[in-house]
Amino acid sequence: MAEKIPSQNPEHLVDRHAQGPNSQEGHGHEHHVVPVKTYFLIIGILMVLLVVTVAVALLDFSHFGAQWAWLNIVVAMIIAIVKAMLILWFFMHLKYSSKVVWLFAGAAFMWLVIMFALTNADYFTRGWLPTPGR
Amino acid sequence: MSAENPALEHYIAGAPAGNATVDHDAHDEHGDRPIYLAHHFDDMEQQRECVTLGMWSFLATEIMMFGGLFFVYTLYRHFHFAAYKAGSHHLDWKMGTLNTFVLLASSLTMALAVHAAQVREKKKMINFLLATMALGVAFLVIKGFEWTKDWNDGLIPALQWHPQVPAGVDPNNMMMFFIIYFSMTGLHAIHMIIGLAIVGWMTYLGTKDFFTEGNDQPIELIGLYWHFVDIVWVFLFPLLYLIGGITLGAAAHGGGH
Repeated sequence: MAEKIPSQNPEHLVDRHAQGPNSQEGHGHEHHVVPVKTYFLIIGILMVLLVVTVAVALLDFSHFGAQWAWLNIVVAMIIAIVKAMLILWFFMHLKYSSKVVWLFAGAAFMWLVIMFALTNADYFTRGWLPTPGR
Repeated sequence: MSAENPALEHYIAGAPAGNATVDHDAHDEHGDRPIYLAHHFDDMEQQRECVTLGMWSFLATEIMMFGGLFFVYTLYRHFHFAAYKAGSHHLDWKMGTLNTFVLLASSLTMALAVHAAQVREKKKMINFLLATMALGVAFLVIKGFEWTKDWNDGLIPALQWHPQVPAGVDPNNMMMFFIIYFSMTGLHAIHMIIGLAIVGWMTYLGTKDFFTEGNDQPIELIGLYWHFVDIVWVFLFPLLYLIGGITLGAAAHGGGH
């Protein structure tokens, strides 16, 4: 069976999201095209967050007393996670992806959390209790 | 076009020429089957879903690979914070900040290239891919300058190791920081180089009308990869460059305080 190449089909070119009259396969919901405006908004937020990260590091919470030094890494990590979320959600289109894609993306981070939580639970608690025989 | 698989031959040959028509497999019943739709998929939607899932599976393995390094980082940071801080203060956080800007900007141009492919604007897509590559190369060049400075400062474990170590810090622990630093930024740089090669190849194919005739999915996939590498850097930057606060007075040459 011979067929036309898509580029030769103007209707197909104009709007591939519409259900063409000759489309019997039911291309139901096509994937989402994110408006350019969204990308510029997101990059704006990302750049602001980068400046905030550096500003917070310059501020250095330990100047307010040694007991606040831990805030440095906590704030930096919160900002990094927000940045990663924005990239995942909008640039990587997770927001518009199917549930099974969510599952795969989430599973990877889930295993990461397991690795960090369980292994650190060992390392960081060493010495909390006396070792028998020592 | 008389080969066994005309569709494949067409794909390799590049742009559709004139009123080219191709023969198709017998099981194509509808006649509106796009040429870039692999024969084992029912329709574009299924193919789209499938290849996206495949890419995410790959990215999951990538998350695990970098995750191991991030874990090692966390562990040594917990036990040898002073050495980490001293090591981090040898790095130039201004260069790191600049590089983060560059990489975030490259993510924007990549996202815009994906968008251009989706709305079938070939010229725009090519330009945004080229911009992405330019920013990616800029990132590596800046990194190269940093590594050169590290070499001159004697901060390369095993090869060029004669750093200034502040009192009270075990040089071996600071060396561990730099081993982790070079492992992580090195692995990240390798990903950048691979990404640049693929984007370059995609740009070439793009000029042959591969992705702006409805088959935008490959651009979307390389976009996923590129953004992932960007996310890795988003975490690397504060973890490596901003440990324990920074000061405006340039990168400390004489070690941390």
